[in-house]
Amino acid sequence: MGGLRVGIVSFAHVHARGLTAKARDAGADIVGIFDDQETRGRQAAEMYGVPFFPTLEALLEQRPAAVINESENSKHAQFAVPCLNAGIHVLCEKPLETDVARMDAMITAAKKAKVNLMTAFPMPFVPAVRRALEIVRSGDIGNVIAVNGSNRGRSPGSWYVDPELSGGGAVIDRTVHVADLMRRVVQAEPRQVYCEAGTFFSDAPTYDAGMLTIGWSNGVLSALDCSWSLPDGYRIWGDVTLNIIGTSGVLFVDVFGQQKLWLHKGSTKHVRYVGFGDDYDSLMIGHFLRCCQDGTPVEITGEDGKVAAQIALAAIRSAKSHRVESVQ
Amino acid sequence: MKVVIVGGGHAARAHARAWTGFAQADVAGIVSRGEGGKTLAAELGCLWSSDLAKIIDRTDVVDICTPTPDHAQYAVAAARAGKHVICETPLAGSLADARTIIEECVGAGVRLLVGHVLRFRPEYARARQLVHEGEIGTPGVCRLVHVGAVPGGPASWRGDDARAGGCLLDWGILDFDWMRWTFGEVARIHAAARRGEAGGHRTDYAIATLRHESGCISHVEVSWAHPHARHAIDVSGRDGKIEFDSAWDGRPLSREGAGAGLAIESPTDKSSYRREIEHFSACIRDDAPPIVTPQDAYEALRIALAARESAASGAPIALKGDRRWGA
Repeated sequence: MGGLRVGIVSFAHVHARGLTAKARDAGADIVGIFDDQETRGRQAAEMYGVPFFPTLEALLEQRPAAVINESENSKHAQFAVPCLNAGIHVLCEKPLETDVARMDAMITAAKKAKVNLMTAFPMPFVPAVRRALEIVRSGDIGNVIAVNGSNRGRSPGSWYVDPELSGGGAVIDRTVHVADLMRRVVQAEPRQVYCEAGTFFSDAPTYDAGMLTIGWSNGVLSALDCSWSLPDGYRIWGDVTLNIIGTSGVLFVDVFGQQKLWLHKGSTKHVRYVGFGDDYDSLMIGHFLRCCQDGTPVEITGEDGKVAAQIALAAIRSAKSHRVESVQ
Repeated sequence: MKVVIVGGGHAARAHARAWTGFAQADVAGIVSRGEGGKTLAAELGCLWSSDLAKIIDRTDVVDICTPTPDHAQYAVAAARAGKHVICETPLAGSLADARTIIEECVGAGVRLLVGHVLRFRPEYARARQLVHEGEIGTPGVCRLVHVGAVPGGPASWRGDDARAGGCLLDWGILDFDWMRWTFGEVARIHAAARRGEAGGHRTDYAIATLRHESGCISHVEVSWAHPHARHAIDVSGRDGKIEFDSAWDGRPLSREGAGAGLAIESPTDKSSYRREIEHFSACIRDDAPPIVTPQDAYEALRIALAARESAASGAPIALKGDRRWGA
């Protein structure tokens, strides 16, 4: 990797740290960090030994070839569009945005500037997921009748439970990864969503639990559990699972299956999980950086991010209306 | 106590196995229309008849294990003859039939005990107990899995929707009953289903999401499209989580044979059906209240029929109206 110049936009998201480190490990030259929260930004800049920039413009003056956008959900477009307009590739955290018009603005800007807009969905890079898609495409389990899945975790608190900044708590945070995977399995578009959502696991002002039913354009059915329902001290931070039911077979994918070597420590009476599989974030970052370097299109586009987010937004509407809502 | 089992298929055999070896009861006879019942009677060394009326005075209890649409006629006949009724699930295929059965039993002063066997399956009973003891705090989200190949093979009556009512009714009713037992009354339900068929078997698939009056969300996946049986319980509450998945839990015995594949067994001292009939027998003997009442059976049916209606229309269904039922 010839030291692609990469800027980091915001350390709001919990992934900012990991992605910055992994970009660097993949050979990227981190030119600096912009954060609209100065204290947080300066701390991060110090940690990585890079300059801090108090404005996005100042970061862009460093002429990065690409930026990684780790801001709060409802600020994604605000920071991504100027970068795209300036001809800079963007890897954007999920959900792509909390509003369809803003997503369209990002997608349009990327098209116009002929640069990559990638949604940070690492799951399609997990080898077991690639293999599952291969098995489905081969026809080995027949036609797909249904895909159900889960992406559970615990509330990250902070802006994730702010209705404005997050756009919907768990229902926007924990739907999009699996919704995107389901779309890759089903190879159709989502049409209707029904969602029951609630707040059960804390006293936050946003949903922390959701159960979605999705109807796809080719008749396939999905159920998705997007709840922050794992208790304190649970043995692993989260899960991503897919159950694919076909007319001649069933496939179960435990996406975190290779993240679970169990270490029981007598001295601390603790159990912890130790990953032994491929680092999917590294695989994702590697793909993004290579595509930016080579000028080739990314596998996981802004459009992919938009559709997944549209499912989440329909779910939030349904949770409020108690009706089946169309994906818009 | 004498029992006549009505039916000659899968359920009748399971019940017969449960009654056998239970010292306090005797299977006095089998009533069936087909050969299955005759064979079963021969194996048990008891009477067989195609007509309940012919042997009803030899029994105290009629245990109905027929396809669903036949439950009502046998239950009514038993009640009018002053015999206690044990009945497989669903109690009936319609609320009207269920009402008839309950009213006839109440009117005749006989017990009506409906076989919602999940309440007697140890992992389900224990999970419910943990919830009710507050072990996980207020419950928030529950997911059940109830999948497998439909019993009975290609000629099975389950292939006929007019008789079995589809997987949401035939299998789902057990899960709906457990959810109501564990999380309380249901305010609304949304379900979706896909009818399927392969090799003469029904391969239906369905999902249902319930919102309880308490606010708790529960969900079940019911499927006949899975080649292997699997059941799972997952409940998250404010203060904890309960998990069970038959794919990897509760497997004390697994056998592998070259070419014979993998077989899993989870034997218990008494099978769930045996626990169920022992409880029902004690209720009859002691005139004690059962852990599953006729009202519970009626409510489970109401939920299951609403699920089916929701799956047909695509819209969620609000469950309201008269709930208190019978004695």
